[in-house]
Amino acid sequence: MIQRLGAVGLELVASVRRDPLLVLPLSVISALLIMALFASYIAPHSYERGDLLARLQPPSREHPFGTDHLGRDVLSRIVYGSRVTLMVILTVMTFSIVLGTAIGLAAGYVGGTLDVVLSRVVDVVMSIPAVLIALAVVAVLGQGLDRVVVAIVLAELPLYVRLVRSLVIVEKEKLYVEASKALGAEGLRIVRVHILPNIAGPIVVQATFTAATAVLFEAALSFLGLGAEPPTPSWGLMLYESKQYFRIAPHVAVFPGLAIFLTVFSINALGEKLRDRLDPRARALLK
Amino acid sequence: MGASRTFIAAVFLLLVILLAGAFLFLRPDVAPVPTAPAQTPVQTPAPTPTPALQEIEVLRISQRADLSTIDVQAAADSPTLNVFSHVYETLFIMRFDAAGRPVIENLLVESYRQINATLWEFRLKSGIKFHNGKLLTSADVKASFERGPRVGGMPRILLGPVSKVEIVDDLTFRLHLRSPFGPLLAHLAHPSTAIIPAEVAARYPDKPIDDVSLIIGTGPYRFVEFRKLEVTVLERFEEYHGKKPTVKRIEWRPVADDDTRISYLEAGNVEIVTHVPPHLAKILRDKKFQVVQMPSARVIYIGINTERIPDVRVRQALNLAVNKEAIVRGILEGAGTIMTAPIAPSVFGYVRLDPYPYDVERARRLIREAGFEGRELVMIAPQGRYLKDREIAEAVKMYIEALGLKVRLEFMEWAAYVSRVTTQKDFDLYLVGWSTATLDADYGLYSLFRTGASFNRMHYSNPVVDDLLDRARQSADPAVRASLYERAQVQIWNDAPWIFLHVEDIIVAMKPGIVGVEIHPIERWILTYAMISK
Repeated sequence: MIQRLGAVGLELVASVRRDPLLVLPLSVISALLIMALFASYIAPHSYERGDLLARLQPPSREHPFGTDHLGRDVLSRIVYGSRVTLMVILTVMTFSIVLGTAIGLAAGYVGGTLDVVLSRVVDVVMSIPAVLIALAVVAVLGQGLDRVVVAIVLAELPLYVRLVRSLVIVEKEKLYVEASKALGAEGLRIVRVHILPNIAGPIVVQATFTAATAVLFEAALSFLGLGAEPPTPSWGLMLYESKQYFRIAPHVAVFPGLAIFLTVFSINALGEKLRDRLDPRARALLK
Repeated sequence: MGASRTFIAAVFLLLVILLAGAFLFLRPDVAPVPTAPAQTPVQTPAPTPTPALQEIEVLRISQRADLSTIDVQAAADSPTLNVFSHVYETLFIMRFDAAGRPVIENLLVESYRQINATLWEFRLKSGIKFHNGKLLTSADVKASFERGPRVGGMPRILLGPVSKVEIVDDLTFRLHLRSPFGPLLAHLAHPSTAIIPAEVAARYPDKPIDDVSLIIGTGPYRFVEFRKLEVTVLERFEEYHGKKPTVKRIEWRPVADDDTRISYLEAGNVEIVTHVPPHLAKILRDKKFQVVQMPSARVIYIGINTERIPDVRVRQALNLAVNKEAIVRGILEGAGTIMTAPIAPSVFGYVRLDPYPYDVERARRLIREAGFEGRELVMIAPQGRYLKDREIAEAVKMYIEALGLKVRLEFMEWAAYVSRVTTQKDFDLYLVGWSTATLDADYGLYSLFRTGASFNRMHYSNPVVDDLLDRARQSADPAVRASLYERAQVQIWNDAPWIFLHVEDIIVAMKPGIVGVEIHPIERWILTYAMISK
């Protein structure tokens, strides 16, 4: 494990040397991780307590990013907000990858009627704009961060089903699969030992884009007032709450906006690099 | 290759955004707005003897909401009643003396007398014309008062005490009351008791009017056109019985979004905007617009469900825990005053009481004594209904949690919120406002604190208060009523069925040079006699 990590580290150093522009996204992601892990040490103030008489203050030494509409420290809220962001990324990625891959494998490997049914369902879901799905979920289940995660997973799931299905269909016809079949291997074993490792690359690439989408979606839904509930320091919610003060205190909106922008940008930039490295075919497949 | 060029472009874009952000900080007016002094007079700006005042051809005004109905008797919201206050008239009218106290004057009525405790006789002014040319008679009053309670909640409340309208002759009629009712004339001055023509009432006996050509009143303006969410046009009624209006045409152009509404004024698309949020008032003042700020008759409070929180010590602790001054000076930026009674100072019967101080220590002690530590409270609140309601709810949560309690705060859309507040009991605290539309304590206290009253969602019940409120509404003697209301308010204040927050300010902004716009504490604006300096 440690060796593995070391190898990953070496590879990172090598990629940065090859492409110095990777420094920015890598440092943003590291900063995000560090902020989330050590929020209570980094944040200078409470994220939920504020002084109403010192609200909407411009950046100062005491409050480097100023204070919001309830006099809370914007920097501290952004630092704690990284936890919300990371939580959303991780849960959305886990659920959409696990479920999407499982369904995709079933459809692609088993084929036949099952494939037809699953594929049509996926087609239908994909024909509905993701935002609409998310809004519908929130409308039915109500407001809240956990519902937002469900909404994003529902919107992302079909992408994985489709991707994995198409990869499996190509892969299962290959000689090595036939060879292991000839040796008497069962379906599940073939899928687990042979097919999965061979299609992992494109899934990982897709996962990075899911991460970026998750951040954007959470922010969008919270901005619409459908996501996180106050006083959760969600960046999208911070944008929503500061919107009305943009004319007199733009900093309250600018910082969370920048945080969202930098995070999404960095994840996407890394994802693109990963795609170049891991799987050139994915590009053609996704297009 | 392509990917890295995209990358460079993105980094460049990022720098541009950072720079733009930096420039925004250089704006000079990012500092928080200091507390603005609230003006006390009711009619502002006064028509001062400026050299050349002239009539206004077209006056355009943007309220926050459009007409909710075209039937004055079915309307319950102030934006709609504001429009109809120019079209319809009531038997009496609320005016204000120099000190801002409400005074009830005759409008359609020439004279009246009280025959006994439950019988009043009124005589209408003669020669008053409806917009369709027909003369106003007692039959119109009878038809209006009989139809109103069938189509609208407001007339049902306001005309509830009237059991029968008896026509004596063309201009004379009598009102029979169910029981003695002190604030009768205040109710007959509310726009929901406006007089509509008998033939319109006969055509729509129990359903709302749906034909714009039947919006016919005796007021200074004829209803000309209504385009939903766009514009409502009123034109001067040349045969109006009162003083000739100085504005020929009024256009009401509703704009829901605060920033958009303000920019309408800045761009010269309208001359008056209402419901200006306090943080934008400063911008308008700096740009030399007239900004009128005055206390309304609306109190904002957190109702406490006394069935779930029966211990008065806890309710008092909640009052002590909330820093009302910080809410008013911070969130409202001075656009409000701390409540000093359950009703606003502009209401008849108001008595000044000492606000609960901000005393976290005492609050904690009371919570401990009551054994209420660590409890979780459910709080519900609307958003976008009252000035900064969302932020106020968040702040109250913050203060209560400082006592070591937990607050689960839920925001709801207004219609769903009202329905939950009026039908459910599954919450401890709810934020709401109450505007005493008749400016009489009865309207502000009876339906909120009387046991079993319709808006007593605190389920508050105190026999002493019930008795005082019952007696006060039955008396016609202002002095007697005032003293009964004083005792009721002291008792309510100590029982603390609310977290008493503040009285909202009204903020209206207009183009420089406009004078004579009447602004009342009940969020009513009368434009009839506005003029503009040349």
